[in-house]
Amino acid sequence: MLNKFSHTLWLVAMLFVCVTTNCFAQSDFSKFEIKQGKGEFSQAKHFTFLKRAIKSQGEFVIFQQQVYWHTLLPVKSELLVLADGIYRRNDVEQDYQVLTQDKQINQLLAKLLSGQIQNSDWQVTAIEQTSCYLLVPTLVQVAQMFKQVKLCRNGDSQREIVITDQQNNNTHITMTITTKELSQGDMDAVKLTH
Amino acid sequence: MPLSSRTKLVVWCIQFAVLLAGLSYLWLFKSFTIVADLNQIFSVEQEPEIQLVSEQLEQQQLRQHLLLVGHQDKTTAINYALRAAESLNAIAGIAVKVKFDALPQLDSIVRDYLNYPHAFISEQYRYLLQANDSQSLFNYQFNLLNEMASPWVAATLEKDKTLALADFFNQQSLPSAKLKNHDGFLIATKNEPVGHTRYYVLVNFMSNGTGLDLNVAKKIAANVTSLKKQALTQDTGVDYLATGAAFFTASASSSAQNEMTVFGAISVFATLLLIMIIYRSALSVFCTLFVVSVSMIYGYTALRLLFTEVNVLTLVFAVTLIGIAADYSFHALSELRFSKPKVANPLHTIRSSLLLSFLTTTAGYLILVFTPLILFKQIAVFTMAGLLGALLCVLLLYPSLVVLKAKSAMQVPNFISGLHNLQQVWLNNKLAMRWQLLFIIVGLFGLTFLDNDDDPRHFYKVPDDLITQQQTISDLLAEQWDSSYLLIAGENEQQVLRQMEQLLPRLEQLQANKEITAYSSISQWLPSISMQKSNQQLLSDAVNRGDFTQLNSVLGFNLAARPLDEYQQLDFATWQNTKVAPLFTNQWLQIQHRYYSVIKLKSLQNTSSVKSLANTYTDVFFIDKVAGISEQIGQFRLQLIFIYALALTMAMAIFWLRYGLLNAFVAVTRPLIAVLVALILSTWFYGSLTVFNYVAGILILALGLDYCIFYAEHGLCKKITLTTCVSALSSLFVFAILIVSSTPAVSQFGFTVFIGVVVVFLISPRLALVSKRNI
Repeated sequence: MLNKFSHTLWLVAMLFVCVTTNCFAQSDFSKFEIKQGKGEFSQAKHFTFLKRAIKSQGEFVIFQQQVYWHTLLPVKSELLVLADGIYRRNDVEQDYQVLTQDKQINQLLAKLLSGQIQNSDWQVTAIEQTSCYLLVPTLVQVAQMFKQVKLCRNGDSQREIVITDQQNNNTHITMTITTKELSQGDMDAVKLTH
Repeated sequence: MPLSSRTKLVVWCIQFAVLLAGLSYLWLFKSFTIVADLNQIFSVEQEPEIQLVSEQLEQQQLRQHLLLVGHQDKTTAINYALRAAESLNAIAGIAVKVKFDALPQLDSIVRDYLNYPHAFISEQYRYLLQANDSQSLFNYQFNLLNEMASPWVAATLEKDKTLALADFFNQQSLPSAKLKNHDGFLIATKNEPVGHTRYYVLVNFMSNGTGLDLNVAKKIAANVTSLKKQALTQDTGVDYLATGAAFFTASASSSAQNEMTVFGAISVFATLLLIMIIYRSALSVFCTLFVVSVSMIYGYTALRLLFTEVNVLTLVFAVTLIGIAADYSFHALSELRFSKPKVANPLHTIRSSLLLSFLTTTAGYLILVFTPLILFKQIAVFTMAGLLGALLCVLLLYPSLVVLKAKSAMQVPNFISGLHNLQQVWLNNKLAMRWQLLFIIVGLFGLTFLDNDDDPRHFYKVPDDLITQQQTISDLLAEQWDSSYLLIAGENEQQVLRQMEQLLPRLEQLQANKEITAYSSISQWLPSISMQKSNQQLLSDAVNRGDFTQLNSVLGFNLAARPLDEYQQLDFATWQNTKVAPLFTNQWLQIQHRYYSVIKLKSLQNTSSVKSLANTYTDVFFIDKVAGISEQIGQFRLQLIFIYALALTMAMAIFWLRYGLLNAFVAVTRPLIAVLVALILSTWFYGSLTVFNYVAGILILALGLDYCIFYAEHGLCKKITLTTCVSALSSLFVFAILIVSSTPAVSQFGFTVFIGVVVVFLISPRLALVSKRNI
C-alpha cells in the first residue's frame, strides 16, 4: 500500500515539475529560422585523438532552405546542401560532385544550418539560462552521424552549432549573418547549375 | 476398294481409343505445366555458358518477391507485417522472411577494412597521388577532413591518417540504404504531403526450387489480395505494396483464363446458333460440337506429348481451332443436308477437297513449327493435331450419320441465295487482273514502309495497379536497376575482379556522360589483390616523397611508410565474410570452376555504348534480354515474310498442276490481297505491326487457299456459297471476339484475321471460273 502511495506521489511530483518547467510544450525555434541571408562562418573540428582542431572559415548563403557553404581558408572549397543531395567542388573550374544523395541527411543538415528545427526530427532539451538547445536526432540513420547537436542563438545575427558525432568528435560552427538581402548572384550560388 | 461406313466407324473408334489411352498415360506419367510467365515465350540465343548463367540469375530474380506493409504508426506496421508473414507462411512452396540480421553499421563496415592499410584508394585519390602534386593532394585531403558531416572520416581517421580509406568509403553507396533495421525489421519511410511519415515494413518471400509454379503464384496473389481486402473492410489504415513474378504471373494467367472461357463460350454459342439456323437440326449442332471437342482432345494430346510446359497464351490462341475445325463439319453437313436424296454417299464428293484443304492448312502451320519462338510451335502443333482429329472425324465418322441426310434436298436459306446471286454479279463485273496486280505491287512496296514494333513488352498489358506498386516499391527502396546488365566471367575470383576494375573507368565515363545514372559492381568494394598491392605501393611512395607533410602538420602526426611486405591484402574469401558482402550475393555466381559477376546498370540511355564496351574485352558480356528478344522477333518477322512467299509458291505449284499457270496465279493472289489489306488496315488501326499480325497472315493464307480450293473444285454453287459463308462467319465469331482481348498481341491477331477472312471471303469466288462444274 505504502509502495503504491509512494509511486503516486512520485508521479504527481514529476507532473508538477513538468508543468512548472513547461516540459510538455514543444520548443519554439521560430527565432532561429533564417529564411534567407548571407554571412560568414568559422568552423573548428575537434577530433578526440588530435591535439589541435581543424579550423576553417568562409562565407555562406541561405536561400529557400538550401545552403551554399564556401570555405575560403585555409583551403578553398564550395559545398551545396540542396534538397536532393550534398555537392562539393574544390575548384571553381570543376563541376560539383555529389557527396551524398541521402535525403534524410541533407535535408536535416540544410534545416539545421538554416535554423528550421522541427520537433519531429529531434528530441529537444532546452539548456537552462541560455538560448541554447540540445538536439538528439530521432532518425536512426541520422544518429549514426550526429550523436547530438547543440544549437545556440546569440541575438538576431549569430548562431552557434556544435555537432557531436558517434566518436565524440565535435564540430564547432559559428555563423554570423551580415545581411538578409540577397543579390541575384547570391541566389544563383545556391543553385546546382554547373 | 472403298471402305464401308461401318468399317470407317470401327477404324475411327479404334484410333480414338488409342488416342485416349495415350492421353491417359501422358496424364499419369508425364509432367505437364501451364506457364503464365510471358517472358518465357521468348528465349534468346546465346553462348551455352552465358545462357546458363543468365538463366540462373533470371530464375533467382523470378523467385524473389517483396511485400511492403505500410502504416503511419511504426508498431502497427510491424504487427501487420508479422500477420502478413504468418498468412504467407501457410502457403507450401515459399519461404517467408520478416526479421533480418542487422544492416551493416558504419563501424562494423570500417572494422572489416582496417586490417589492410593503404589497400583501398578511390580513383580520384589515386589520380592525385600519381600526379605528384602535393598541394592539390593536401587541398583534397583537407576538404575531406573539414567536411561538416562525414562519418567515414570520423570512423577511419584514427587508424588511417592518409584519409585514403575515408575517401574510399565516401565514394561508395550502400545498396538498400533506404531500409533501416528496427529490432530486426527492415523499414523504409515515406514522407507524406501533410508532414506525416509512413512506415513500410519489408516482408521478403522466395518460392522454393527453380522458377515459379503457377499454383504457388496464384496462392501468393490471392493471399495478398485478401490482405488488401481485409485492410479496406476493417479500415485499418494499412496498405500493402507487392511486387514479384508471382503477381504478374497470376494476373496474366487469370486474365488469359477468363478470356479463354468467355471468348470460347461466346464463339461456341454463336457458332452453334449459326448451325442451328442454317442446318435446322439439333443433331447437326451436336455433330459440330463433337468434331470441335475431338479436335481439341487431339490438340491437347499433341501438346502433352511434345511439350512439358505450355504457355497460357497458346491456350488463348487455341480458341481459334474452334473456327477452323468446325469448317470441316460444315462442309460435310452442307453435303448431307443439301444434296439430292438420290446421291448415295454425298460425302464422297468433298473428300478430295477436304484432304486438299487439310494439306494446305497444315502446310501453313507446319512452317510455324520450324520458327524459333516456342509459342508459335505450340500453336502450330495444337492446330495441326486438332485439324487432323477433325478431318478423321468427318471422313470416318460422318459417313455413319446417314440419319442426318435429308429425306428431300433442303432449300438453302434465302440470304445465302441472295449472297450467291451477289457473288455471280461480282464475278461478271470482276476487277481487271491488271488492277489487282497493281494493288499487290503497291501493297508489297507499302509494306516496307509500315512501322513494326518488335518490343515484347508491348505484346501484353500489365495491369496499371501492378506497375504502380512496382514503381512505388522501387522509389521507396531506391533499388531500380535496369533489366540489362554486364556479366563478367573468369577462371578465378581475382581474374573476374581484375576484369571489372578495367571496366570501372569506362563506366565512370559513361556516368559522367549521363549515359547511365549509376552502376553497382563488387569491385567498387573489393579491389583485386594486384590493385590493392599497387595502391599500397603508391601510398608508400607518396609518404616517402613527403607528399603528406602538410597533412601531417595539420594533424600533428608524423606518418611513416611501412615496408611493403608488412601490408596485407583483403582476398575474396575473407571479403565474403564482411558485413558488406551479403548485400552483393545476387551479383556473384560460381558454376563449377567458372566465376561470374554482375555489374548492375541504372537508366542506361544507349545500349550500343555498353555493347561496344563489352565487345572490347574478352569474357565481358552485355546481357539485354529484351533487346535480344526484340532482335529475334524482328528476324522472325522477316522469316515469316519468307514463309508467306514459300507457302504461296508451294500452293501455286499444286494449283498449276491442277488448274494451269494463270489460274494458279489467280488462286494465290486471293489470300495475298487479303493479307495485304489486313496488314495495312491493322497498321492504320493499331499504329504499328507486331509479329502477331504477321502470324495472323499465315491463317489468312490457310483459310484463303481453303476457300479457293472449294470454289475451284465445285464452282460457284449455292452449297459452296453456303459452306464458305458459314465457315467465314464461324471464323469471324472466333477471331472478331479476340479484338476485345486485353492482351494487345491477341487483339492484333484477331483484328488482322478478321479483316483477312472478310476480304478473302469476298474475293475467293473468282476461282469458281476455274471449275468445269461452274453453274
